[in-house]
Amino acid sequence: MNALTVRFALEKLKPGQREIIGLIDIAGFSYAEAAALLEVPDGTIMSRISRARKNLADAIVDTNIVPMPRRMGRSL
Amino acid sequence: MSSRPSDWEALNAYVDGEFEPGRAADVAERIAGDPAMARQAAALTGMKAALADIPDVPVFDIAPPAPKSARQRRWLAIAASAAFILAASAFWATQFPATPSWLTAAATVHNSLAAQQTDAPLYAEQVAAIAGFQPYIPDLVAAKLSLAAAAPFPVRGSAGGLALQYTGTRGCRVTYVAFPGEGFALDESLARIETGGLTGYGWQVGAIGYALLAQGMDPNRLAVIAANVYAASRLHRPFDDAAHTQLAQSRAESRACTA
Repeated sequence: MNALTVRFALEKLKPGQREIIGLIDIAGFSYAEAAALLEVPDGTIMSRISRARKNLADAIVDTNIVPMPRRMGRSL
Repeated sequence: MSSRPSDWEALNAYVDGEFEPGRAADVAERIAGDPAMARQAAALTGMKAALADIPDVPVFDIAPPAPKSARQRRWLAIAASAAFILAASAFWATQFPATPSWLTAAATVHNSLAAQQTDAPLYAEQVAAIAGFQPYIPDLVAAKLSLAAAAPFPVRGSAGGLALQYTGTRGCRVTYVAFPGEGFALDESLARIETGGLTGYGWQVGAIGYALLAQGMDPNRLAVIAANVYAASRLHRPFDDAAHTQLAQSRAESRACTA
């Protein structure tokens, strides 16, 4: 799994799910901080982030982008 | 990813470091004894690492001051959130080609700037000073709208901006953003804006872009407020008596906000 794969999979999520993943995983907010920003209980953040990641994982599986294998050396 | 929801949620919270030591130890013990759960934990960790590798977010176009209090940290968090949404909106621009990124960020700020700040006017001055520009900051008391919150409004391609939120006594919230720079699809004339359930107006005065957004506000009242703020921002002067009268009258004749 690399950033490019995740990036394309993210585009398949609903805006609200991208938002919660952005807050927690990209911006690095804690559940409490994200809850304060979105004005919801901490438990709602836990539900939302787990649901968003489940959908992201499914989207990654559905993404056709596969990282190229790394070259170990130039063949002659 | 076939765990029951409660297990999946607990695993996510564990990977995020959200549990206190005792509960984290319980989850760790379960992971150690369950290969399927261990695979899920590894997949989650890999996903988080890949997300952290996505470039360009968050973005701060101005250097934020070091947070010293819970309130300051809260405002910086809001600004960082706005910055993330802004960067993300640019990132997903292919899906929303018609919406300028600053407008997406402004809509986000409108929803996130809900808390009240007793010292919002002073804070607004400080943020503008940090950002290094002198936006027009309207006094909307005549429209029975009080400046309730302020935050930095980082805009990509701009030196940094300012977001203010005014609140009324009948459920109205008006968000006002100002940001230096040009090329933000704004014009010197007043242009109507609609985005994500919000309506408002945007305009450019010299090298500063302005927008005023609200949700569920009487359209006539919003138009009067925007027209007066637009005119005053061009002169960079307080409202005159005629403007005060118009603002008060439009408020008296309007219905309460519906959002």
